[in-house]
Amino acid sequence: MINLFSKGASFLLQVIFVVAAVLVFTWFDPFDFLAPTKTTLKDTPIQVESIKEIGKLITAEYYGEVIASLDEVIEKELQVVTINFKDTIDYINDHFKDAIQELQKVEKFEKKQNPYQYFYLENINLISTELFEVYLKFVFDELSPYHTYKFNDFDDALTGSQKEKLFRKLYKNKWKITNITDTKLRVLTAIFDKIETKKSYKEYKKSKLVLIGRGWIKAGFNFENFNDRNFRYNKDNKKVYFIGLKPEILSKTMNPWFIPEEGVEGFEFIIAEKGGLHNPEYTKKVKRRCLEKLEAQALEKQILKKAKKNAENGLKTFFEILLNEELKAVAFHSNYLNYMQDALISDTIKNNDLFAIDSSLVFYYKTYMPLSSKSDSVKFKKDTIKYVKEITNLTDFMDSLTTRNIEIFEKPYPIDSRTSLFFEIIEDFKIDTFDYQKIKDISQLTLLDTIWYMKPYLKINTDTLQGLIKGDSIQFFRNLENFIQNRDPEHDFNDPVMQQIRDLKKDELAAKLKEIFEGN
Amino acid sequence: MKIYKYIGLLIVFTILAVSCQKRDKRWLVISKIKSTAKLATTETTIDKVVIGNKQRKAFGLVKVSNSDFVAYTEATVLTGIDLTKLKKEDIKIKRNIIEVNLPQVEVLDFQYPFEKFEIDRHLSNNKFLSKVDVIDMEGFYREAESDIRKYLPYMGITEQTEENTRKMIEGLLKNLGYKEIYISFKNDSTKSLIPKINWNKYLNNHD
Repeated sequence: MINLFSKGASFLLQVIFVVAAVLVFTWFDPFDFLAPTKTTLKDTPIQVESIKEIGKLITAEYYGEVIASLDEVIEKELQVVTINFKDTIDYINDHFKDAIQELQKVEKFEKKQNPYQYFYLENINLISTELFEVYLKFVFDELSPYHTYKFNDFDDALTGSQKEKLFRKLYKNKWKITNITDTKLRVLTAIFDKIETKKSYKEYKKSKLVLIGRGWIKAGFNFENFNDRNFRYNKDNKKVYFIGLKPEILSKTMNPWFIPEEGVEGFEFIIAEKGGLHNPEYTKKVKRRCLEKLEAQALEKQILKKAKKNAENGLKTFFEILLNEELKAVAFHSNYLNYMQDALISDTIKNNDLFAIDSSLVFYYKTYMPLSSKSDSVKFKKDTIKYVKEITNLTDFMDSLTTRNIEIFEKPYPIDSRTSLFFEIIEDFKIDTFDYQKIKDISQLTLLDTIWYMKPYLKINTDTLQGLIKGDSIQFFRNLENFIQNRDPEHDFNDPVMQQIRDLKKDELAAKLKEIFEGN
Repeated sequence: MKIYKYIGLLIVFTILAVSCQKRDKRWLVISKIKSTAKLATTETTIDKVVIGNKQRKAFGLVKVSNSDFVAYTEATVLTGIDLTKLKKEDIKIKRNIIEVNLPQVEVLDFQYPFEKFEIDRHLSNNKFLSKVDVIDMEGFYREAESDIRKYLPYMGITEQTEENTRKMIEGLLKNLGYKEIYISFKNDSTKSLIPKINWNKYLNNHD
């Protein structure tokens, strides 16, 4: 009986073993006899969805290849998430400190109202910020002598009684909010980073994906909003001008084929394992990373600068053929100011040019000024950086004006905020009642004065500027403008305070201005 | 015991055969910036549904497993003219009258972006032994791209591009002071809509 049983078991084992071996052989199928996986693409129609008119001039093309991996993508995602967390916590911390200072000024609360309730009513925007409860828990644990913030506390929130205790202690200054230093906040960020790293490890679970991506970046000019105002042909100085056009990246492409005729693939899978082999979302992320790297490579090789230069050279030949004459140059100017610098300022400045100069200064100053009015730190920082870049154009233009003179009665006079007014008064060789009124009004500061005064301060670097943007200082430039406009120099543009400010170095200037505004 | 010996040998042989696979040809792209002056006047958007199938048959006869893959894709083609191909002999000027014979319209950029690939998870199915992996998907996308490129000359893009280009160049010539403008396009049937590029400057291949 036992013999029979063992023979049967042995036979069964052999059968299982043979079937398993056949399946394994079928899976790998090294000789292609079992006609392994065969992929076929079905014939489906190709539909033209739309054909639209565009105007793009491609003047530089960058071809390259890059390598990217899923690990790289995960690391970058983590970095971005951590930086956003840090920025939000810093923002909450700054606003919370200001709000607590305001709370401490309250002498009496309404009936049955405690500091916690008061705070929540007065700071609705702050308390509705994402991560505010996380921050509050951290502050409570760090300030309380009986608690210490731990890794596992991240997902916990304060109870109602804990919040009441926290705000009561802060109101009475028994717990000092100034003890929550930047160094302490870094601990919170580090804990967050650790939690996110654990989460992503769990999500990606040893998936591996490494791709080579090949593609191209094309740069040039977009003529979509092009009209007569963007184009000037000066027959006298043989120059063609394009105004208001900046070189930009027109397309960034990585196709499945890089060169179909040569069989060069756009994407080559170097390693693809586990989730990396089966999850198309991971592939998309890595491809996106490849494209970002390719664009970065092209920008490093100054594709935009080359696109502008190529456009100027290429179009010069094109226009010479169309006009059947030699041209001096074709120039691209990103705005009217740059065009004026080139076309107007390079030549003799005429009287009616002064009006164009003044109008342009006012127009560009006004359009560049607005910053986001809401104290959202991330957007405000972006707006500030954009503002600093744009205002540099204006200051460069004004710098070029200060090197030029206008001739009045064959005498050179420098260009400043009062040149056009001065010329207006003396051009008819007499001073009448209207001119007299204009002279009386000279003591009043105008917007043009503000622009000229602000010129040296406008080039404050972004770091100094961002250092001043905290709480109410968000209105920094508006405060600066008001400050200058409210001064009454009595037609004395060498105001001693202004002179002192001009002499200061940039970091000293930032501190001095902060002192002035906080003093006001 | 003999049978175990044979099966053991078969497994060892299989592993050896799988590990001795032919190495694919490898390309290296030499990164360069190329100067051009190409005026794109038309953008055509093309839709294509990619339907792929993966089958596994035992001994070429018996279907063991079958999987389907469905994705919606979109391509964008920019067409226009290469301004560097315009020569002096293509222009005739008489006072303020100009006759221009513009270069043939061609594809200036072909984009088949992966961001626009949307897999239909309801229609796609993945079965054991014939799972469609990302490498298979890439193969399907490549075939689809070749398909689109093949049929581009028949989509009526050339005519629309000529019309748009004519409009743009006329506007430009008016700004230059010409009053009478005549525009025509070169038409060389030997040249395709997709221009031939000499890729040797950009490629090095390694076997």
